[in-house]
Amino acid sequence: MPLTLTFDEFTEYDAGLPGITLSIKLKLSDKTVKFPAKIDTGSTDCVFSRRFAAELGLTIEDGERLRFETAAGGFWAYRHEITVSFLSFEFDANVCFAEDENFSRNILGRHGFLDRMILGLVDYKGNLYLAKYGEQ
Amino acid sequence: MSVGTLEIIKKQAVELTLQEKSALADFLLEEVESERREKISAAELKREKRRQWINLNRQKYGGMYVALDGDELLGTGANYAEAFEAARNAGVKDAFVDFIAPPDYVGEIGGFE
Repeated sequence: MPLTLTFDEFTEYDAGLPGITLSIKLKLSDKTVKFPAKIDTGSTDCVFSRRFAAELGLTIEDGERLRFETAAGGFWAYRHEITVSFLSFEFDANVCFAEDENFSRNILGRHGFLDRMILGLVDYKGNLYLAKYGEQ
Repeated sequence: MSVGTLEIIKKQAVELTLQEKSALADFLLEEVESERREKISAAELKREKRRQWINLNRQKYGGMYVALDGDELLGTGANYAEAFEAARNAGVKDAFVDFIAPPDYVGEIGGFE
């Protein structure tokens, strides 16, 4: 029996590059930062480079300090509520900024992204279909 | 304001002198900026109320999703959809719905070698 999902947005990514990249904006008050982030189903949370917190005017240490484990060790990050925006979607969510200034990855994980999105993926074409729960 | 009223104001504005137009432009820009600031302040206030609520209730609701309107709890759920539906049932369309990390939370990041 065929199954059907409906989506509100479609975007293309470069399937030749590592990961599935989505251009996102983070907003706080009247400040905005824009950068590419990787969708990562193996990550519990959204974690971004510390420099974006600084560009948004956040004092990173004012956030909730959380520990993250990876296959190669662990690191600390701070959780802050900000506005996440991409394509036509925009919502407030708690996301993390790495404590270490050398952390250069930008990850869209489960809490704050995957937990509210409906995704359709055709990786060999680099096609990504998106909808947000409750907005269809 | 109706489209008709806006068109009347625009037609009247055309009749103004250059100096009056400049003064009107300054006035409108100030109005827009003031309204934008008010909007941001209201959003920031709501955000601060949420932050305080989460800090006070992390132990109780840690590991769950909550739906909040400022510092008012609208409902909870085991996932985003359940909390979202609780907010919808409470009649709040723009509720904040998110996961509350418990005090002993340890996250995981994949893809590191």
